[in-house]
Amino acid sequence: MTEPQRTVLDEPPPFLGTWRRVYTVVVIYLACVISIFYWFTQSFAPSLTP
Amino acid sequence: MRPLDWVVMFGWLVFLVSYGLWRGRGSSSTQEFMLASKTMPWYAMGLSIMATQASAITFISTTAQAYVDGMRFVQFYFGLPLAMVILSATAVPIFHRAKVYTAYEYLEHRFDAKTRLLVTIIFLISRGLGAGLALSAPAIVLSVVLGWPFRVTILIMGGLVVLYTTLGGIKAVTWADVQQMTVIMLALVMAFAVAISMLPPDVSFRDALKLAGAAGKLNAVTTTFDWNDRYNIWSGLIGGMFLALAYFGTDQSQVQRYLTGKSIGQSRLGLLLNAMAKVPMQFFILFIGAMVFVMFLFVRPPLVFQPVVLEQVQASSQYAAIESRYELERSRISEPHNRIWMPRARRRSSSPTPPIRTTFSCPS
Repeated sequence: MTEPQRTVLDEPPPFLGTWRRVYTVVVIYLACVISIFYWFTQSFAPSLTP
Repeated sequence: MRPLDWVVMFGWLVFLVSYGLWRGRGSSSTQEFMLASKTMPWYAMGLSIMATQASAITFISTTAQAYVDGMRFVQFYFGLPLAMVILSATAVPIFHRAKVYTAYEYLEHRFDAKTRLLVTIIFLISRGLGAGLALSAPAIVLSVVLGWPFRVTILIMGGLVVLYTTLGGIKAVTWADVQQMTVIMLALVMAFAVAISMLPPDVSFRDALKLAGAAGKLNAVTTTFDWNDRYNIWSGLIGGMFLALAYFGTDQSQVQRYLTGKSIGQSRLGLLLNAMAKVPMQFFILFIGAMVFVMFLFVRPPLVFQPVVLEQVQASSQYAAIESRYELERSRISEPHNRIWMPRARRRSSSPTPPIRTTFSCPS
């Protein structure tokens, strides 16, 4: 059985214009998430002072 | 289980299988069965990728991990978004342009058939073992809830999954994953709401946060570098990234998902959805575990969750001694001068301290 020929579409992202910019946004987003988690950890960390 | 519970559970199972089969209808050719004829939208791929990575173990054991060890496990996922970016830029176009049906078919193109065969065998063995473990966790829960033998619940769940997978192919699997992921998210929100609602009325959400923090359960980020510390930001970013690269870049169960995208862009968007949603989702799952820990400061936790095992423990000679020791400790802690923490609202009010609930019952 022969399968139909498939064409490979490589399209630009639906926003931000280029994939490089999308990847940059994801990395910045990760940095923001980690920063918020760090703030959260520090805000509720057990106090060492009596 | 009440009649409505049965209706909801079996109604959901029938809907899940029927919907998967309906979506996967007409998957007669290899291309349709393995690649859904390259028609899957990015959001379905993304949710399916997330559902494939998650299992009942994620929702049972991860919450338990936060209960015991705090939220630091979330750092394990910090490298995942980086891996998604790398794979989107490299592996996704390679797999698409190679026009392969499986991840391991690419190895045959790149090397030879022996390499493909070896990796395929390793994958099938490891995935078979992993699937067995992933299936056993919900089977235990179902056997407890339904009172059915463990093997029966495994056979029912495994049978249903095999049914819609073999009849509907990847399209049925992906759409069933989308449904499951939606239900899982709703269930997580409900579990969180239940944990919060079972706190005493004078314990606010902020009090609960302070309690969890004081017990070291909200330790989401550790910045110190320690070779002996399994979960910190560095092990998460570096180790987690390489683990995610291996899993999402070479594991057929994941590669198959993004091979179904109608374009390279759609597959990339599916992976990047996972990159954006996975870390907050894991944080939320762990946070539920931390809140359940706080809840069980006020509600007596069950000794064990399985009724059969609980009966065996209660029948043992040591049980009465343990029980009396627990009551002694509880009454000692309940004494006002021994109480180490009291909610601010309760300190301000002159109302008497409500009795600590000593029972926890599952809905029957």
